Amino acid sequence: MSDRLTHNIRSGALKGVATFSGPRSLQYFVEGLDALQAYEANPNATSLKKAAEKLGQCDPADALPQFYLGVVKTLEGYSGVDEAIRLFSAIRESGPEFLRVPAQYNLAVAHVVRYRSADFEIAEDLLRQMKRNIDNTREPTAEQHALKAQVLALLAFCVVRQRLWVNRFKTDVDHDALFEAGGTEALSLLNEAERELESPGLTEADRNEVLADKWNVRGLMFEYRALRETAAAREALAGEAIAAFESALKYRRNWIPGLSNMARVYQDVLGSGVKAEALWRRVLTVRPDDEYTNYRLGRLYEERNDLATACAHYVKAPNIPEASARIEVLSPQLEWWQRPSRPGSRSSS
Amino acid sequence: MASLMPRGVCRLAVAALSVVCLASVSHAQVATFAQITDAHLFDTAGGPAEQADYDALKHHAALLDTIVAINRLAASGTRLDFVVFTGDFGVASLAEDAIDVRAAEIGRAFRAVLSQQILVLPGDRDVADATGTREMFDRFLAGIRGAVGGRQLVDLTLMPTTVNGIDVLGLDSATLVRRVGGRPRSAASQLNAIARVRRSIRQGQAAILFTHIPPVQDPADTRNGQAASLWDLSPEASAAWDDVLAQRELLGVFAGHVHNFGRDKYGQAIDLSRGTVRPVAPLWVAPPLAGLQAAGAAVPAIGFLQSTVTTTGSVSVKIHWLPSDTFAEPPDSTSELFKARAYERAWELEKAESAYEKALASKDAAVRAAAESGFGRTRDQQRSWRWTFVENLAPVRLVKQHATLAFTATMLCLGLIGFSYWRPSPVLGTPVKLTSDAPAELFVEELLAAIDQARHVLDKERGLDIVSAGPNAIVIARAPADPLSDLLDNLPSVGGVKLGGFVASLMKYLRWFRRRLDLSIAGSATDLRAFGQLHHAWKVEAQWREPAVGDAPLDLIAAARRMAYDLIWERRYR
Repeated sequence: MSDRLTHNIRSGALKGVATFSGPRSLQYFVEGLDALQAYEANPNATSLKKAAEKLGQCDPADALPQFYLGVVKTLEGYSGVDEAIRLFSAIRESGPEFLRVPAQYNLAVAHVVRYRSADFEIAEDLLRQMKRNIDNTREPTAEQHALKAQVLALLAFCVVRQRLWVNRFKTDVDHDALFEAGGTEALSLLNEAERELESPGLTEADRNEVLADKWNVRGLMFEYRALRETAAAREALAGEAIAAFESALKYRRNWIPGLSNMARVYQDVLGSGVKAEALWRRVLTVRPDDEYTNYRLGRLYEERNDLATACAHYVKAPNIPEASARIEVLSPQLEWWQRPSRPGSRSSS
Repeated sequence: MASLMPRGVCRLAVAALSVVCLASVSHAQVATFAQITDAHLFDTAGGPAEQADYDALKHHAALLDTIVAINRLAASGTRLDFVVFTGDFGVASLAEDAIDVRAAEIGRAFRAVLSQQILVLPGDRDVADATGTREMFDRFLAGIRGAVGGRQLVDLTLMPTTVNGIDVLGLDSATLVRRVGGRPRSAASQLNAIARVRRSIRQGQAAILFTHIPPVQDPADTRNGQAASLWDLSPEASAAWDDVLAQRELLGVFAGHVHNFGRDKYGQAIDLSRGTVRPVAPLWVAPPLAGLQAAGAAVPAIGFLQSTVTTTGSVSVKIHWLPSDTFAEPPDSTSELFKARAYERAWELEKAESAYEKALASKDAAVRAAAESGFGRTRDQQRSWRWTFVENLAPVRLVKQHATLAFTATMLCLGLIGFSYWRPSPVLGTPVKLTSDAPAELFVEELLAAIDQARHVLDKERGLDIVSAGPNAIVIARAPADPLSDLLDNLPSVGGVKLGGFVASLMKYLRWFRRRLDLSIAGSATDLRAFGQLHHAWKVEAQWREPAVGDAPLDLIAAARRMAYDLIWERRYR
């Protein structure tokens, strides 16, 4: 799980007057925004890189380009998320009023993208605070309904990740009780999010994003249950999970979380390396340097005993501790296999 | 001279004791006066303008001639104790701002009268008919009073006076006159006016009464074959009037107003007894200065009345007719005078001055006097601020002549200018090529394309409010293209004015008030320099140079994009 577009920008929640310190900053902003729009229409690395480059050239004093730069940095994944968190935190604290709520939401997204337990806790706090604020609003606007639906969906994901996902391989916990508690809360949040979608004034894009989240969370829950089952039931639940992720991808094309989760089910639950690799490759077309994908591909190649290729992928995931650990383990083996004196040594390419 | 000595005798016959008492209370004293009336100096309008001017001039001349005749009389040894003017200067027709000037003119004429006392009373043309107000007349008299020098000027309707032991009274006939088509006068007001006279008649003190309109039949107005009375008294007022007439102290009534008696009737005593047994004060009607020529008469009856009244009751009356040549053909140069006055009214003062100057050569003294007055007046007017800053300017005169059209056109132009001025989007003019091969047209196309792309990108953001107040905010309009110019060129001419040229000029002027981007281009497509100025009417709001001094050279597209964002930022995000 790694990616999430900034829904609120598209839902029109921003109402305010932006200023730019000069015409060049404005020009770079428009050019960066143009590239970002191209990325959203067809996610690809080139557009994202161009967007980052142009928005990065804007005057740092201009809040709006900084906000969009944070969006782009979030979309870059692990490599950009620290910068995104810095940008959104600054805007949330001292940016223009109209950008503070969107910045808070995107800050939560960025923490989710960083994918550490501590970040999930921060994200959950931020999202619950937003939910309370919207609940306290007497007459929420359509934009606020949309935002609330997105907050609830993301919160459901956080709950699943923190209550279930981090414990999936633990043996000293009552998984049924965990699933009962975490699953129930997540489904409750998703149901509430769906009710928000019935509010008037919401757009198709608002609904698609929340529904994609919903199916993604449901897929994760099936995956969690599948890991606990015996082979036959496991295969059936994995099929349910894949169907859920495919539903999510119907709502959001080439959505990295959907693709990644589905690839992981193929790889870890069903043991289908070929299908998993195809999906991971698809993720890399959208985000070539995605560290989680590289880590997973490293695992895949390691299972195939292609240690050189595995290590080549691991080194592309410097922010994932498991990848670094695997390099430590695999390096001596790789050196032994690659010794020139040993006959029959294999190429790693 | 017509004399009315028998009146005193009659009175003796009827009431001998009274006359004895009247005669015995004092030594016989004599008052001689000249009565002039109905000058109609200012109310000659109504017909053709030139006729009105001529009549005004004629009436002025009659007044001046009368004064000359009165003075000649005085110079010949006749003692004139006072001169009385019994109404109808025509003050009610004067414009508000002309009262003082005209009063001063009449005052100067009266100052020439060789009599220390001048008495006046208003006529029906001196007070506003609708309201009966005499404010204008009072102001007029104040103006005369200021110009007559040391002479005493008395309004008899306000203040009776005594001359040589004879009380001289005035009756304001405004409330007594018959109104045609209007509401009848109120009985109370009639009674008030007559009672005022009645109270002024002192027992044993000889008195004469002056009024404007006499209580006689109007020869000009006959209904059912009978002449209608000029007065229309209520029964109560009629009785009160009879009572006034019956006062033995009242020696006579003198009036004016009647223009069409014919010479034989003016100066003749008119019996006002209406069949009563008791004799009453007779009436004399003085001829007007502004005369109508009676039907069949060779000359109009124009002149003044001279009368001598004694405290013993004798009244003698003589009419002095003015020479008929005064009313013959207009004197020479009169037409110049007419022209001068017409020019003066239209504030064409140079022409008026020239015409007055020509009229100064007239052999007629009155024309010369009027011309001299007018000449001086026009010279004074030409030194006034109104002439210097308003009337002397041909456009201002034109605007005055066509005020409604000018106002409408001005409002229309102001509206168009305001519309142009407040339009937010700039208009792009034809770019200037600073070097012969500069790709100016291509630069404009790229500039517009860059603006269009920016708007497209910003419009795609659903949170549009944060980046643009609306698409129009960064719209730039092209200058009218050639087809429009062709269309304007082919518009027909109307009245010699080429409509196409007029409209094109108007559009250029309006465009000048609008926000506009003026571009100058130099260099080539690979190394281009662009200069832009954003004008708003007379102001330069911003100016740019791309590439900026010190920047690396830019190609055409990069320079156009930069200029586009210069403009967008200036207009929207600064």
